[in-house]
Amino acid sequence: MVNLALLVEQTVAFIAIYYILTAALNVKAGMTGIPDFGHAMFFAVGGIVVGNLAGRLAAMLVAGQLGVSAGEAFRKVIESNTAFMAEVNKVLAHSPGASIAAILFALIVAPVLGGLLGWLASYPALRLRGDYLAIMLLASSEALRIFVMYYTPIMGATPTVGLTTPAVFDWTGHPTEWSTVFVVALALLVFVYMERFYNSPSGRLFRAVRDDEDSAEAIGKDVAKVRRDAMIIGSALAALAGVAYSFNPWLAGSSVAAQRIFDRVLWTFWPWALMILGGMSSNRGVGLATVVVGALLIGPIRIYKNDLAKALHVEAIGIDPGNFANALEYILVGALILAVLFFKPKGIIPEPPSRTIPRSRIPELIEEARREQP
Amino acid sequence: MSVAGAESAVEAARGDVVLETRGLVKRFGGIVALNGVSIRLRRGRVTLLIGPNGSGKTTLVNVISGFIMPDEGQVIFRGRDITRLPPHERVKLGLVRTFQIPKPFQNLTVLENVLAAAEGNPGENPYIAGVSRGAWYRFEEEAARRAFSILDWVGLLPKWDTRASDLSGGQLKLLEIARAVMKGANTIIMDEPAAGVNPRLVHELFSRITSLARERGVTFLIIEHRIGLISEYVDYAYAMNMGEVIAEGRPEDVFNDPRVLESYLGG
Ligand SMILES: Nc1ncnc2c1ncn2[C@@H]1O[C@H](COP(=O)(O)OP(=O)(O)O)[C@@H](O)[C@H]1O
Ligand SMILES: [Mg+2]
Repeated sequence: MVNLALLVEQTVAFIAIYYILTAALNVKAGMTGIPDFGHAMFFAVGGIVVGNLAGRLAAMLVAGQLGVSAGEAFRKVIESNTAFMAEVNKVLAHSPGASIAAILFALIVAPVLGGLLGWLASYPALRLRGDYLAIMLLASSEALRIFVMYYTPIMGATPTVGLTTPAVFDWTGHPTEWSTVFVVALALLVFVYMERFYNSPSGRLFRAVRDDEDSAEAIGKDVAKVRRDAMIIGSALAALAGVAYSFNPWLAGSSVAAQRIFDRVLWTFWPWALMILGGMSSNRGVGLATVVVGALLIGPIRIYKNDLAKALHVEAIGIDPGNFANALEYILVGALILAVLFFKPKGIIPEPPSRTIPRSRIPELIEEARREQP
Repeated sequence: MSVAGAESAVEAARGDVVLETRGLVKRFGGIVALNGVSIRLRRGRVTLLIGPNGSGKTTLVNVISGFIMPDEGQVIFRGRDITRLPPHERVKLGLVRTFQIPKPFQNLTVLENVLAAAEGNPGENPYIAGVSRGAWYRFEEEAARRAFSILDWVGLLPKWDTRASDLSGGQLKLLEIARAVMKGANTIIMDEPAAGVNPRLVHELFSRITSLARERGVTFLIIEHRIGLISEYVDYAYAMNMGEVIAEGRPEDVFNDPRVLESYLGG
């Protein structure tokens, strides 16, 4: 039996974080032309901030009620994570203040750290181009994943289990609903911000640098700075998606694990696929693609994939129905990308101009301009 | 007002030199693209540089604009040695170039291409652009007004909302010029601006270039490989061949110089 309400809620939460993550990639890859195949590492920053830093902050804020010192609480979050965080979360369920402090803390610190990592990663982005840069960023992300998995002070000793997250929505009484409201609100904010950013002189500048670096230099633009700014902004937003994900019990469960938050399929491949589908450099396209793929494919597929595999009798051609079912979402999205790229090579909604001035104002400006001389 | 005869020597001595190259040398492997090139551009003058294909004209433009570094020699702009300055820094000083093969921002509209060239747009600070529209909107409207009047001037106004990728070759040349003017340049170097533009428009364009030079004191260096096409608009000419300046002076004299004619016959 399908619990429809639950399915809808999960799907909505999924769409929301994927929108943020894809919009973040779009700033770098779509608008500025930086082929970031290491996008997952910036998402992971959000997870690390939630599991490690926000967890520690929450624990320190409620340390008194657990009869430990703040310093002890700070250490125990990593050293005896599962047992200690269970205690912390019991107290957090009655501490809206500490919970909200942890949320705000993560919302501020994660983009700052994500932006910082983006700034670091922009150094190779200044020297390398195209394939070389893509591989270099992919390798950086993987190297960082290995480091975080085995350097235990960051995400604990068990890379596959990770750290129990602070249950910052338990005090509401409806943690799953409220955490979904939280990610959706965040996604809407990011959408509005992206619309405004895209339709600003900066949006135009990023796209200009992507189209022709020489020309941008020739009209006095500091191309290196633009690429650096794009890496900082896109990576900061990706870290925000990581926060939204990690705080959400539907999506992350009750813990964040290094292995999962650095997952290159989930947090690099999927955003790329959604961006290409929606339209490179097209904020509305990215939004629409995320909603369509999320609503039509991800949700229903999860429920019906086994039935579909049976109905298609894939075992007749030697494919295991279970494997087929698990690969189904990739197969369908792959087919969708092929179809869209074949019929609409620039995506569902092709890149629009940056409308810095309302169209209704343009005829007046043209009239005024005609009366002047250049 | 033409610069002619004995007058020219006096004039030349009087007009201030805006840009000067001193003994520029650039080698590409075995090819010596520039072999000690020294030229001078004077304020408010239109200087023409001719020479057959492969004579080093574009290489000279690239060195002057900072896109390639010379092996030897200097570029002096308004008294300052800019030989090692990156291109965008030179643009900030008012030294702007266009490309022989137009390099537009393909996915941007004509208006966006020109607006992008506005100098000092506060909306190009990405950390405030999406947050505070008020910080840049007035500047942007003013820039748009200027952009439209420049587009009107080069005849591209009806195309303002067309993507650059949909323009013809001639229109792209005009767009390059519009961008350079929008930049508010005091010195504009144009690599074959007339190529692919229909002749009537070429004349219109050059009468505007001369008026910019005469009335606003904008300095031009125009590259052409065809002799005579735009000579009536030009104050001074250089001819290059095989990486060297082989003649300079009044345009008619340069065009009729036997060595120049010979270089064109592929001697
Ligand atoms: N980037 C380059 N690498 C190698 N050779 C070059 C390069 N640019 C120009 N050249 C060579 O330098 C010479 C001058 O070229 P160029 O400056 O383009 O001439 P022009 O613009 O007068 O036609 C030519 O022989 C050309 O092949
Ligand atoms: Mg050339």
